[in-house]
Amino acid sequence: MSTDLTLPRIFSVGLVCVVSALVCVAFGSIDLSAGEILEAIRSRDNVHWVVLSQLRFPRVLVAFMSGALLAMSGCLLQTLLRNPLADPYIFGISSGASLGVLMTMSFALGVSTLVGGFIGAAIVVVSVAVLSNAGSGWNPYRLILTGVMVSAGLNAVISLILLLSPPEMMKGMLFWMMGDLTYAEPRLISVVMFFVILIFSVFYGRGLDVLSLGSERARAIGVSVRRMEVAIYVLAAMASAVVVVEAGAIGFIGLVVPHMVRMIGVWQHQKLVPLAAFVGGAMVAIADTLARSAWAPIQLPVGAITAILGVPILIYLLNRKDYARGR
Amino acid sequence: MLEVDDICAAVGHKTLFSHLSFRVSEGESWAIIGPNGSGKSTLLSLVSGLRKPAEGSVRIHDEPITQMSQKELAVRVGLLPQFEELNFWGNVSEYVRLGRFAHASTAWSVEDDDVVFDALSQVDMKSMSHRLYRSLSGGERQRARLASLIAQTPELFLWDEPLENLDYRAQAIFLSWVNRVIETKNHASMMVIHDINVVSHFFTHVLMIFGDGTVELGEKNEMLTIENLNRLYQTSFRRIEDQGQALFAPG
Repeated sequence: MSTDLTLPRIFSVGLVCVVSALVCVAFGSIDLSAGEILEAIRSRDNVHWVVLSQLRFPRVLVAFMSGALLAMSGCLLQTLLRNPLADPYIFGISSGASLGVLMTMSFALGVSTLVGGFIGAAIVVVSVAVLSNAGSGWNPYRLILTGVMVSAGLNAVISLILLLSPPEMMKGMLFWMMGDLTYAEPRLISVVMFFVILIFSVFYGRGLDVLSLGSERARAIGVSVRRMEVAIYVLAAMASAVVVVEAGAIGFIGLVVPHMVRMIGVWQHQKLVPLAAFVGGAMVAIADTLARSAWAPIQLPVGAITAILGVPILIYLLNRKDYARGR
Repeated sequence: MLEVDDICAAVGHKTLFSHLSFRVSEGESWAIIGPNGSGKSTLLSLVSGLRKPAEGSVRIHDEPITQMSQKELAVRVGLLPQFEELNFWGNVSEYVRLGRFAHASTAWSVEDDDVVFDALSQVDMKSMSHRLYRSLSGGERQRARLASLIAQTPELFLWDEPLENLDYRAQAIFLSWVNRVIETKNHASMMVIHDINVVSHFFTHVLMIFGDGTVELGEKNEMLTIENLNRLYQTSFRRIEDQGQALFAPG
């Protein structure tokens, strides 16, 4: 059995993902038919056009980009940490960003929540890197444990602030912490990160493949492990931070999508990372459409939907004998 | 080919060896033997550049290995460590291809495919090339690992206990491949190994690490004596002559 898909099939899966994300613009508090959408695109001045171009399309775009960045970050981190349970929040980036947003909200610091969240995420990324490098140097286990420790500490502080804050603020915070695209906007930085990681994984994909055998073996095969690990850490952390600051901690995409893509037989990073990006993007776009239309006009946080979809998928994957045990 | 000058190694406060110097020339096959924890693997990681010696230098064809990039080094010196992590999701031939990284880090050539195919046939795994690597048995996995270093095509091969999990037939196939490639291509090999009789059969030189900080090395016939083996393993050995061939047995 061949374990790899051919390029044309990968492109078709990618295309299906993009198309299914685009179809999402039809759904929302009012559903549009294909005819209405085509008419709106043709005339460009009716109400439907305004809904599509001002609301729906930007929303689908930011959902797609968030999902893509989370999935790519998950692929990179699972390789960096040689751990199938690694996800974009394993270093506590989401906790750092949450705390930053929470502090800007509750102490009225006079900066936007975006800035607060980004500062929080950046502090976590830098301190996890510094803490896990101190003394005898870093290894994957130390990096994971440091990240888990930092996020556990931050989560305690977050719970404390939430408990002491007024109820109406608590609900907004909870939405944000579960991952919510209601106030998210598409930004250039996420598109830039998307292409940077795509190019990185195509040029350095072979080295990433070799890195899965561990750093000693990878060096003996000729990979400059240290440089590559720093690059992965920086890229994955930036991608996660970009998403979490804009959209909160959307769960399970970064963890599940890399495994889904490996399940369909793609493991080489040159193909895995791009394909995971498209699958992750489509999943968040669809989940967000469900979140804003299933119980309309009530909007749900998209993170709740991705988790509800993601948990059964992950459990199914773990039960697949040939995947979990390799037989 | 390989010049090692005055290197030292220590683990914690224990000195494994110090001021060790030796030369390995084209066509030579070295066995590194010694008790557990005496520094055999450490010596290989110093020679392969995975570790930097606190003192002294390691050179390949007069060029210090510290001045080479990881990729340049991997083209000349290939190490198969004893352990690696198992996070590999592909099949056997894709696994063996990883060994080609230093030659083809972004795109494949037809030559790479040929080298991989040849490496698989050297370890008698052509028929298993499409099996998932994770689904292999311990011995099959070890053969795939050997093939990945064969596919790396270095000039100096460094093997850390490569016979582990191999059956007798696979051992014989592998050891004669090593000797053939060393002779025909003028390469060299150093191997950490525990089977003295294999050493007396297949190797040209022996390096003994005694575990008390001393190292002795030389041609196989000078080195493989009862006195040296008794001292090396702190166990008494017997020498048995069989059809003109020396065999060693503990006890």
